[in-house]
Amino acid sequence: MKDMEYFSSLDLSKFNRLFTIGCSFTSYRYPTWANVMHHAMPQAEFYNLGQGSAGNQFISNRLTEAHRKFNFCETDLVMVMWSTHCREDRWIPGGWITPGNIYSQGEYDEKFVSKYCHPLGYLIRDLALIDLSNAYLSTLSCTHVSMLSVAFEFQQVANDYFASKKVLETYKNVVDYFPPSMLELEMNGRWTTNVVYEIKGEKMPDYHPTPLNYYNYLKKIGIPLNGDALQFATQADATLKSITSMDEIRSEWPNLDKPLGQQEGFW
Amino acid sequence: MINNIELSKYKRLFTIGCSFTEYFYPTWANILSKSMPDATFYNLGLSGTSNPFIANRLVEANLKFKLCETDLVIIMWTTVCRETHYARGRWFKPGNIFSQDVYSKEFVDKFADPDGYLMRDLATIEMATSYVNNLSCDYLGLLSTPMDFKYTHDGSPSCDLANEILDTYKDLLSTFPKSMLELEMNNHWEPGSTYRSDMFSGVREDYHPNPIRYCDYLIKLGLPMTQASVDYAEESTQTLATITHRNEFPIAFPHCHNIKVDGLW
Repeated sequence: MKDMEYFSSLDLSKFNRLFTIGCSFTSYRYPTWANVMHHAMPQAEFYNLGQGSAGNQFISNRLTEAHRKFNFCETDLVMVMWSTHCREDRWIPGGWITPGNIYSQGEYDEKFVSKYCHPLGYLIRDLALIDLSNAYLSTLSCTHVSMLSVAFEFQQVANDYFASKKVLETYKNVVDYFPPSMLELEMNGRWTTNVVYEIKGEKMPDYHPTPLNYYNYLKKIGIPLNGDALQFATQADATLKSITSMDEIRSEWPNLDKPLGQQEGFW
Repeated sequence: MINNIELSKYKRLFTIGCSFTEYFYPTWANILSKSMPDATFYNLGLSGTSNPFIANRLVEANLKFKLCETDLVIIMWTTVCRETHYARGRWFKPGNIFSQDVYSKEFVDKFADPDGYLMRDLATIEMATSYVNNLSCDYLGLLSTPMDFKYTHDGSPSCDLANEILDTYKDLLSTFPKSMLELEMNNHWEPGSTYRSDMFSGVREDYHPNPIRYCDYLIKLGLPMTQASVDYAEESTQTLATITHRNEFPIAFPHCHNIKVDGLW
């Protein structure tokens, strides 16, 4: 397991490039942990390869693609925050379709969902995928940090409790590999609404963590963040909490959630 | 690796793949196992399945069987345009997405794309190869067909990015020997058997290779096959030639049926 001692021993000043990969917890319309990290590493080129609503299939694909295209080396820091597992990602001409949680999305029809989608199946799929990815990262010369947005245990469905417990026991090495998740460590295991803003005339509560939540999480797992990162997170947090509409978010942080990958020659 | 391989040193043989590995008559996996009489044989292949499933099964096998230095793991990767899902205790794995009738036409039209499958599968195979190469077991990676293989006349859309994707992963691809289709079948699907079935009308020409073809492929790769394997391939092929109906396969090749390995999903 990569523990707090490992994270706190990271010398962030030694890296020339920072790569971050994940879902909307990584690349969003307002700053995430990835942007906080960037401010702690001003000397490093920043590649945020996350994509909103992405699942772990997208993340693992983007990881290998990024290595192939950027040739990760010893002066690179690669950070991944894995997503929740009930998701279906696919590449079609034009880019990746990442509609988010399969049970609340609008891309796949109900017949598909009822026949092929099951939390246990997704758990089996993603634990193996994450094990492969962690092992892959371990063979590369870059430094890597792997995190979870939500703990695997938090994603179990009550009527599959025993079956999923068996899967989690089999993949104990993967479960134990991670520090406590963002949801557990910083949000006390609860999805709370941190900000509310208007989108097309409707007030929308947003359950994503705020910039200060992300900063606190990175600190709690031991990442040695500097004062610049705290200042950035504090300012962004205050700005976010003063915002009342999506237009203001777009104006404050233009294109922040536009997938960088697709601008940089990624598939 | 292939030329120096000493089959007698292994105590367990694990094979993973699609119907080229696990089928209702003997495949290369069954034939190879005859050259390793002292090794316990685990055929973890699954007919109709996809490369993400194969990678998944590799990880599951390592966690459940604790793969070690006296194990030989051989994977024959499959064609890329496939879907698999595990739901309610079973795997959905209907083979080529463009010629199956399990996933709906609406799904195929909207989501199935050869380039998308190719980038998914090469990323998966890259990670799986890295994973298994870092275990203490020995590993051989094989291909049933070249990675950019496409069935003709299956209605699949064109590949616009295939060359770019293959080029991105070219050093991974260079680690594989020539595929079964190229090396043994000269890029030509020749039926390995013909039979009738209650599930379809007329006689089906089954494009899966016959056991002699599989055996020849292993020999061409340089694997030290014993006479027991050659004899078994010849006998199986002779038996196959006498079969006229799908119902006869379980009687003719009982060891190729009911092969579910205990404890695996």
